[in-house]
Amino acid sequence: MRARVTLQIEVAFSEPVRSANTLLRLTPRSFDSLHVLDWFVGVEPVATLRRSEDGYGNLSHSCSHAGPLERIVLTAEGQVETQDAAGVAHGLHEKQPLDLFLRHCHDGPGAEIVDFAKTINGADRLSRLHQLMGALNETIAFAPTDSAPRAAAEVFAEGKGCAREIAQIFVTAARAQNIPARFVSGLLLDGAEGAAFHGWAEAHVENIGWVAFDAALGFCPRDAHLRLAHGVDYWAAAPWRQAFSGYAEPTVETRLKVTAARQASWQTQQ
Amino acid sequence: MSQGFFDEMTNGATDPRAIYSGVADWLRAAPPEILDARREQAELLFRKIGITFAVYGDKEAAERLIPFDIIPRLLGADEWARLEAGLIQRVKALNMFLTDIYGRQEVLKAGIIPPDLVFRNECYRPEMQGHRAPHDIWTHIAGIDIVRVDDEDFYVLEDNCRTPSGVSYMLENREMMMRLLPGLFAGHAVLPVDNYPDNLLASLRSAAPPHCADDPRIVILTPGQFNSAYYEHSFLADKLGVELVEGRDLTVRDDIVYMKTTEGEKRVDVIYRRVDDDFIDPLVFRPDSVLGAAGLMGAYLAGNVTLANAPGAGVADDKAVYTYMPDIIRFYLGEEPKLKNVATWRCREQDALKYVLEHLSELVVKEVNGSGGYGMLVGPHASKEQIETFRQKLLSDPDGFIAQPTLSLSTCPTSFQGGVAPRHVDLRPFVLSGADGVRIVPGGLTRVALKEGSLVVNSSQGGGTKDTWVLATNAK
Repeated sequence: MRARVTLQIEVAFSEPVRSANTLLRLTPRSFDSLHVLDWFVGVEPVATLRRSEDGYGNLSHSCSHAGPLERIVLTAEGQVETQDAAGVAHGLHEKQPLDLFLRHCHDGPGAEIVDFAKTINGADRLSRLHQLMGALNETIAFAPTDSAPRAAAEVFAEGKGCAREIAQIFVTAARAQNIPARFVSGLLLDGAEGAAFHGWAEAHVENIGWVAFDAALGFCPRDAHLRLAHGVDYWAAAPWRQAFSGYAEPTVETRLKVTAARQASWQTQQ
Repeated sequence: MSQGFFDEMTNGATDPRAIYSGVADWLRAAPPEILDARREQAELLFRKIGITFAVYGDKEAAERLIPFDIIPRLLGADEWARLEAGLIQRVKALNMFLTDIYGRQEVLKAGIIPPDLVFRNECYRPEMQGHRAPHDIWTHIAGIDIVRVDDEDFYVLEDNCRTPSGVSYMLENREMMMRLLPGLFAGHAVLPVDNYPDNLLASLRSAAPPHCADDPRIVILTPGQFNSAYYEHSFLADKLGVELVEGRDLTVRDDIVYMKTTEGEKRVDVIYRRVDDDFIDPLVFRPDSVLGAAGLMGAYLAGNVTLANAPGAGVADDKAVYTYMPDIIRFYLGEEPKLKNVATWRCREQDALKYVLEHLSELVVKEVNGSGGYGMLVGPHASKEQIETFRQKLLSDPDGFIAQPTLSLSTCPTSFQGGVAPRHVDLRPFVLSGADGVRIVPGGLTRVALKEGSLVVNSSQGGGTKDTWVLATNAK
C-alpha cells in the first residue's frame, strides 16, 4: 500500500529543564518490500539534527537542546510504498552477523520462557516459528501502550503485554531454541491498534533469510507494518530515546496519522 | 609447607636465591617485635591516609583496609625484562584484535576464533561496529594478571581490558615501604614506580582526538563515592592534576562534551572513565543509568572525545577468548607468545570435554562468562556432590565452560603475628598504550592470599597486597 505518514511525539516538561539530548530512529530504510518515496524528520525548538547510521545499519538522528526548555516536538513524516512479502525482509542493509542475534540479555532468558520454548517442536524452523507466534498470541493478552517495555520474563509471568513486550518474548524464546532473532520497531499503517509505536520480531530461516513475526497480532507482517529499525533488543531499536537534566516530569503524547494514498499500480492488477 | 610450590625466596633450598639474600638477612636479623611494630604502623598509616575499598553488600565494612604485608616481593632486572617484553607484545595484540573485531574481522575470516565466541559475548558492542578507536588504541590501561610456577616462566592468568583497578595500591605500597623500612629499601637498587601518573598522563594525552592540537583537557569519570574503587579514582585525579568528574558534571551538546565548572563550561577531550560500558550513556546503553552522560557515545563516535578504555574493549578479556590469545598473538604479530597461557581445555570441543569429565577432581572448571570466583569448581577441594552437579552442568552446556589445571602458584614470605610463612602471590602490572607506544612502570600490584594454602588472592576474599620491587640487578 502507499501511505502518507505523519508521526508526532510531543514531550512536555512539568518544569523547564536545563538541557535535553535526543536520539531518533524514525527514518525507515528502503528494502525489497518497502520503498521510501520521501521522508522528513524535524524537531522543535529548532536544533541541528545530525544524521548517522548505527551499528545495525539503522538510520538515526540525534540532537541537543539547551534550556530552559518546556517542550520538544519531534516530527517524522513522509510517503512510503509497502508490498506484501509475507513477512520476508529481503534487501536490508545488514551489518551484523547472525551470532549476535543469538545472544541472551544479561539476566538470561528466564526459566519460564525456556520451558515454554521447549514445548514448540515443529518439523522445521519455519513451522516452529509460526507455532511459537501462535502460542504466544494465545497465551499473552495484547494490551497496547506507548510506555517503555518491561523485561520479557516479567511480562511472560504476567501474561499480558504491549506489542513490543510480546515481541521481546518472541525473540527470547526463539533464541532459547537457538534460532537467531531480533527486535524490530515500527508503525502500523492500518492504525487498528491503540498505540502509535508497534514492535515485532524477525527470525532467521535458512534459505529464506529474515522473516518477520508479529505475535501480538498473530500473523506475519504484510504491507501494513512500516519497519523503522532493528536491534538485539527493544532498547537497541527504540524509535526514540531521550535524556534531560532538570527536575521535571515529562508527559509524552504520540500522534500518528496515516492517510492511504492511491493504490500502487502493481497491486491493482491482480 | 611450601612443598611442591616454587617459593620465590628459597626455591626449595636452604639458602635463599641470590636476589632475596638481602631480605633473608634482614628477616633473620630483625626481632619479631620489629616486624609486629612495622605491621601495626603500616595499618595505622593506611587508615590515616584513608586508602580503603568498599565491599558491596557488607554493612559492617563499608570501607575496609586491604591488609598490607611488609615483606617486599622481588623481581630481578632480567626477569622483569622478559616479563615486560611479553606484556608489550600481549597488549599490542589485544589492541590489534579489538581493531580487527570492530573492523574487517580478518581473525574470524581466517578461522582463528569461532565467531560465536565474539558475537554472543555481551561485551561485544554492536554500536562500535565499523568504528575505529582514535589511533587504534582500545585498551589504554590494561591490567594483565601474571603468576609464576617456577623461576623461568610467567603465565598470564587473565587479561583485564576494561577498567582494571589497583594501581593506587602499587603507588601507596611503595610510599609505605620507604617510610617503614628505609634501611631495607636503601640496601636494594629498586627501580621507581612513582612515574606512573606521568606515564598515564602522557598516554592519555597522546590518545586525544586528532583535531585536538593543543593541550587536551583530560578528566577522570567516576561512578561516585559508593564505588569500591572511589579512593583510587580520586587518588589518580590528584596525582594527574586533572578533574575528577561524575556523570552529572558532564553535558554533551551537539556531539561535544563539556565539563561544568564555576567558570562556565569547558570542553573535554579525553575521558579516563571508570564507569562500565553499560552505564556511560543512557541514550545508547542502559536507559536507567545516571552514572554517565547522555550523548557521550554520539560525541565519541563523531570523534570529538576519546574514551579510555574504548567501549567494547571487554570482548578481548573474556575467558573463552583468553584461550585463543597465543593464536591471536601469532596471527597479528607473527611472533611466538613470550608469556605463557595457562593450559585450558575448551569444553566446547569434544575431546577436551571428554578429558575434563574424566579428570574433574583435578581441574578448575570455570564458567566462561563468570567472574570473581562465582560459578567455579575447584576439583581438588570439591565434594563428590559438587563434582556431580558440575558434571551435569557441563553435559548440558559444554560451551559455557573452560577447565584449567590447578596451578601451583609461587609463594613469597609473608609476615604474621606468629612469624613469617610463605603464601601464594600473583602480580598485576599495568600496561599503558598511547598513540606513541606502550609504557609500563617496573612493578605492579602483588596480591597475596593470606590464608594458609589458599590460592585466592582477591581482596574481597581475604587477600592482601605487597610492594613489588623490580631490582636493577639480575636474578641469575
